Amino acid sequence: MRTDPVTLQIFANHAQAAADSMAFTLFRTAHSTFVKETEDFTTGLATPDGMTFASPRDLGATWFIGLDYANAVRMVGNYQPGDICITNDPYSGFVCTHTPDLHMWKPIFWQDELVAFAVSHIHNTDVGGAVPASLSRQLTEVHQEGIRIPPHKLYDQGKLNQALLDVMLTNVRMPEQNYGDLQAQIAAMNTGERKVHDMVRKFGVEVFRQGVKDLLDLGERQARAVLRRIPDGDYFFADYLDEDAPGGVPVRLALTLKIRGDEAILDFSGSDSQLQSSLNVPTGGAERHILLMVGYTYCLYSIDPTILLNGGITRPARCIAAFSNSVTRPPLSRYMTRKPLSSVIRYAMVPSLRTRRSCVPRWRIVACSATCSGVGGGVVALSAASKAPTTAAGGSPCSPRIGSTLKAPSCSTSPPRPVTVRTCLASIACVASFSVVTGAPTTVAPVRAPTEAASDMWS
Amino acid sequence: MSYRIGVDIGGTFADFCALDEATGRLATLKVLSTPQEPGREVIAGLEELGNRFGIHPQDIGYFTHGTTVGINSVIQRKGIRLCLFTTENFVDVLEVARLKMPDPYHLMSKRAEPLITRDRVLPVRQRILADGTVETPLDHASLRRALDQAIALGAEGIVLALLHSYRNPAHEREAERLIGQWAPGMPVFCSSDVWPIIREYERTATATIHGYVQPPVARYLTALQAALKQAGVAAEAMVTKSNGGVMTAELGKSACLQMLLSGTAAGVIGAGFVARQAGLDQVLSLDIGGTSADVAIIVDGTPTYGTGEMVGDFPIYIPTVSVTSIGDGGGSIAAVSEFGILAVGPESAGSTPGPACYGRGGTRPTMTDAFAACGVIGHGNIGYDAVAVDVEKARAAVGTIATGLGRGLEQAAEAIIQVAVSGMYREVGKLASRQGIDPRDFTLLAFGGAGPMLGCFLARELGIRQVLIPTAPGVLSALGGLVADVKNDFISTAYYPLSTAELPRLKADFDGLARRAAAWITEEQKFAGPYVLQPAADMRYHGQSFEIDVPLQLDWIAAGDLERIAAAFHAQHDRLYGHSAPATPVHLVSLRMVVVGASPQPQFPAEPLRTGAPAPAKQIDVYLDGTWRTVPLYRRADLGHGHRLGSPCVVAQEDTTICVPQGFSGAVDAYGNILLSLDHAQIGQ
Repeated sequence: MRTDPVTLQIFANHAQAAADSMAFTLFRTAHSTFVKETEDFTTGLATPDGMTFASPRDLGATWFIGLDYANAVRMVGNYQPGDICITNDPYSGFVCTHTPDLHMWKPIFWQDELVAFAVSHIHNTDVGGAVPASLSRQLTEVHQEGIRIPPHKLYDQGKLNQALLDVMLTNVRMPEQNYGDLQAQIAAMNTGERKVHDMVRKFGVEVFRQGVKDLLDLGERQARAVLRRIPDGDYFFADYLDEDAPGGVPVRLALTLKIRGDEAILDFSGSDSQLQSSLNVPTGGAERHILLMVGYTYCLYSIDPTILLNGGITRPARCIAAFSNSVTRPPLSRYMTRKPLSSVIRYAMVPSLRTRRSCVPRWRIVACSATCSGVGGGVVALSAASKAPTTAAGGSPCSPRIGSTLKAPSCSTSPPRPVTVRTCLASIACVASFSVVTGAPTTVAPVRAPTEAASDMWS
Repeated sequence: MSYRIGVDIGGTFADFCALDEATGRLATLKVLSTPQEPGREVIAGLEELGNRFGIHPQDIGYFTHGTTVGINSVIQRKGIRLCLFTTENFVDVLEVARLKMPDPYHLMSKRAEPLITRDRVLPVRQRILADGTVETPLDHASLRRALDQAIALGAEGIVLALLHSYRNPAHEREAERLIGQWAPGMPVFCSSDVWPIIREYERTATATIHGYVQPPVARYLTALQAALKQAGVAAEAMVTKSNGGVMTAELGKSACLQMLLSGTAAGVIGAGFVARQAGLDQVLSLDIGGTSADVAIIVDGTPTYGTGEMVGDFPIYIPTVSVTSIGDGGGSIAAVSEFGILAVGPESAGSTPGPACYGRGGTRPTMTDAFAACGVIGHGNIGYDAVAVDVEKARAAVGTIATGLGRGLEQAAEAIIQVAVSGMYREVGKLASRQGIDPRDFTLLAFGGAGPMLGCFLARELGIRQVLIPTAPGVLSALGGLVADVKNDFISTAYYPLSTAELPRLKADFDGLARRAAAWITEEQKFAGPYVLQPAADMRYHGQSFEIDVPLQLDWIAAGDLERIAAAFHAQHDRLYGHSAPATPVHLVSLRMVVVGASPQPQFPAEPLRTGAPAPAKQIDVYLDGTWRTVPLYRRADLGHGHRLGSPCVVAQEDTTICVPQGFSGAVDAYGNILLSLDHAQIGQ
């Protein structure tokens, strides 16, 4: 790091202010229900290479820390002031989790030099396709999930590409909502641009360039320090999605977390291969795709809440996600396996962090709906001890497929005492921070794959 | 002789402002507050007013006061034991809330336990639909069952919050009547009475807090009225409101929800008064005390209002002067991480032990210690002689982190100030984005014990060019109560498009609001003077799910001028969000009416213009902007109208210290306010 530490902290505060201001601008102006009710959006600042270095802390989806726009950024190229780029295609650029996630990025120049990108995404209410809102587990091809826009300039030096906009708006069910969301994203990115210009004026362009690098480096150093506190070893956990398609078979998600010094390997070998239904996660083969690392980020942060939430923290980790895997395999279709994935990571980290004495009940998440973790979601948790199903009430309480899979009392009306997602997850993190605080050696055997246990419970 | 008295009771001090109506002179006073025995400090302060200024109870013609009894009941969880009755199958409303976690990235983040725990939320069988029609009539047996259960659970009051009661309150009213028959004397709070807004959680949460604090607040006000009467104060007691207005204490007993955030609101009203006096209308008010730092925005002379302001852990959704906490104030602790990074806060030394330099056992460096180590404070007592500053203790505390930073002691102290200021910049920037303003168009009005110390530094960071330091920065809330208008808000749910077809309905709804508002101010408040009606509407584009508050004008409504109304919305949308869509249909969510009966505004006499330069009390050494400098220290009392200040310099007064770094120059106005302006050469840097 070359920036003096006091200046770097001040710089970090300014970068954070920019990302937060972008988020507030977007949040108040967006039209999508997903933004208003579940904050399914993000804003941020990225390096000229496309690595996110500032993300909002108070608002928005929490899984985009360190999202790498590099592929998408390269696919457009030749950036000019006034450009605004757009994509919603999960299979080109690999920034979009699914078709309704419309990502945009705007180059920010200082005296003809590209110094940063303002980035943002909104989960649009609908982008066309076979069903309203575009997503359904019935679908078998990505082409059924609505219009796909590969990375392109929507604005070229400030001039709107009307043809691209017309094609998009013609192919969606509620064009005025998509248009409103586009405007909200543009307003947010303009805010980001203004803030970056203020920063360059305040710190000078040299300090700005170096400060961005140093923020990422500091995040990396902080993450390595956290990883060093976890004993070396292989930690294994597996979990199952209920079905790969309606009436289908369970889908296995397996993770061996390998801690080696200050590095982590997230090895997803043993997970099931690509699915027929829309539950795939395209990563483009990236070793550090943030959709595979959400649980990693949460765990690091829960152990050390002073950690900078930026792309630097992903550097000490890499993922092994084999090709014949539900986790990465290319086209066909996709939806969201992210949430269960993140819980697999969290659970893999539990034994690595557990103390010998723990009074924390063991919970197992058997199903989750896809909403932003910051806002919660419909989750069913089973206490391994009592087998009593407990629901966390969510925006959409419990989907029918959960009720039909579990032979348990229906959870959609008058549930037993509700717990939130966080109540379950907190028990894990609680164990985690315990051991970090006490430094107790961890000799607990890895958690076994719950195959038998799960089928016992459900039979 | 007649005096107007404003009192604001905070956690540590109760502030008094006494205005002599004949001369316009203002006397101020602080006494220690008595949280164990609320109201006693009021009597103590009245006695002190008599002793020090010869102001006697029978001379008091007007008495307003703000109290923290309500908000403390929530924070300390000392309200009454309530049960909540909801529509069957909606009993999780308080637990589910809006799902959001306080720290979304932290796996251990938890929401505060609701004021009514889940076991005390009971279902009632009934259903009213969104259009107000009854789908399932109120089932008396289920209501009876819920009531019996509530009584068995020891309920001291019942909150009724049924679905869509903002649209049709019939079931809440019927249930209230039945509960009155079955359990006479049981307090019942209907969500449709408390604040009938759309959105189930928001309405329920607001009604819950109201029910929770109402009995203790009513008890307190009754006791206060008796104490004032006994002390010989004939004037009817008034209380300040979260909306920046005042109402009678008598009404406060039932409308106590409206008093919860009155202390911070009154501070902003006081700030607005001072700003007007100084001829400023775009102001960021910055109140930094020992344990909190709060910002509010005054646009065109009017404070910004918001809903969803926090009362302890919980939001309330009534119109409230919007005040945002941006940190912990002078007690924020500085620490260096293992990576050599300096952080200030969120940990705070609070008021106990407080900063190390207060000599009450604190050893870790705080923002206040940083200023002491730099020589800015410690030249006299602060806080009305309550605290002496021990500079050596401050230097020792700052010394503990200087090594870790690899800096000298003063450089470390200055780094603490810079980092703290950049943290405040971050929070103010966020607030500005939420409100759609550019701080550079504003004057920073700095008050509270630490505000004048930090004001210029934060202004530099934000690109603000002017900083105003009021004459009495410690008692703005009390002053605010004194100048606040009699004011109330009325709301009715609309939920129809802004269209010619709906125009008769729009007019009828506003007429209804106007009648209620007029009745409130003339009959309930017995307000004899002229009053103003200010209509507004919460509007949004068709398809949006958040509305914005758009001020309207009575004559637009009377004339049925839909274009003017729509134009006002588009303009407001553009101002807040940077874009508008004039071709998109506009939706009315709710209609509002504010009634304002103006209080007489004090006319402070202008001070005579002084000539010559002010005389510094002494020269002191301070470390500012990277070097030790010898600068003049002025006593505030020695500064008068027309005096000019160069920079750098320090001004000390009884309740605060003003730090003027290089690049600012100051002028004292006719009312004693100091306006510090960034010199032209510094702008843009």
